[in-house]
Amino acid sequence: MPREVRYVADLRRWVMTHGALALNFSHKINPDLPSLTATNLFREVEHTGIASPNTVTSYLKEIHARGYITLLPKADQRVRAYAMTEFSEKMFYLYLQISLQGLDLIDGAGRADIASTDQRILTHMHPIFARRMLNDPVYYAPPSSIAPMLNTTIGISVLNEMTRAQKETPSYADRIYIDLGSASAMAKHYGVSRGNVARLLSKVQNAGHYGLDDRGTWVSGQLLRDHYVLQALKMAHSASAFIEAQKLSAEDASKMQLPVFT
Amino acid sequence: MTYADFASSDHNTVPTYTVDDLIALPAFLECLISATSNFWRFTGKCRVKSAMSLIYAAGL
Repeated sequence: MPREVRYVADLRRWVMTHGALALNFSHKINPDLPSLTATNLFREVEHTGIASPNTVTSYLKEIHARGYITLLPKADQRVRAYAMTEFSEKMFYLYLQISLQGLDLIDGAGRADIASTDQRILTHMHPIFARRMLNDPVYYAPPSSIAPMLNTTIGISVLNEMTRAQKETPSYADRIYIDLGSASAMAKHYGVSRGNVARLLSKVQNAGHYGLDDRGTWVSGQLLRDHYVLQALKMAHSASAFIEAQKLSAEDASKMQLPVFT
Repeated sequence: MTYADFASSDHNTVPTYTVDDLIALPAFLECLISATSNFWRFTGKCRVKSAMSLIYAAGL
């Protein structure tokens, strides 16, 4: 599995990655705000109960070794403060842009175009979006129907496959029939072992949210509903964070006498 | 547009949504599928590894 995938593909790493990015972008906007350090990151995610101080420290060391963050020069050498690399920042600007494009498909409000003309909007938007997500228990403590998927690296991709492969309009019936590829096909597609996918499917099947009967492969209505709630949460927080970020960016522009893009 | 113009304009015309609003919209599913497809389209334009991470990030 590609190494970058590991930093966003399961819920624990998603929480730490977006916590780290929120600190990075906030500090970039206002250098008086806390920078990305192990202590600050733990403070950011502590309430989720997802990571211990040691986990956070190891995570930062790991992404530093991989080149996703760089050490900031600091007067106090005992405090290791980091900044995201340009590559990491770009990756998450794109992440936000794609959510905005999705929202624009719904209402044609043109958010993605506005953000592409003024990157400051995305810099402001990320910490607002991430902190709303990180403080939403529906997100960091997902329901049992989808939790096994969100807690493994390959799970979210399998969940995406399941939920976009519906054979019928979502009706939230007990069983929704889907056109899902085989464990082998998914394993090949995502570059993981077949055993990984098969074990995950077996776990979801044992929990009663996935199976096979004479009509074909199905997922439970509950699994589908819970996945949509989680995705809608991401879109709802993206929509509100965008508006706030747009205002903050305009205030910046006013202070710096820059043009405002709307 | 100057900041004064912007500040006096109603830029809150960009809608916000609740989770229930979104789920009730017929276009919501299309919006999710589009997000995933856009990540896939991105794979043709950059290193496969970084694109893969984005595809996964789209899910979460």
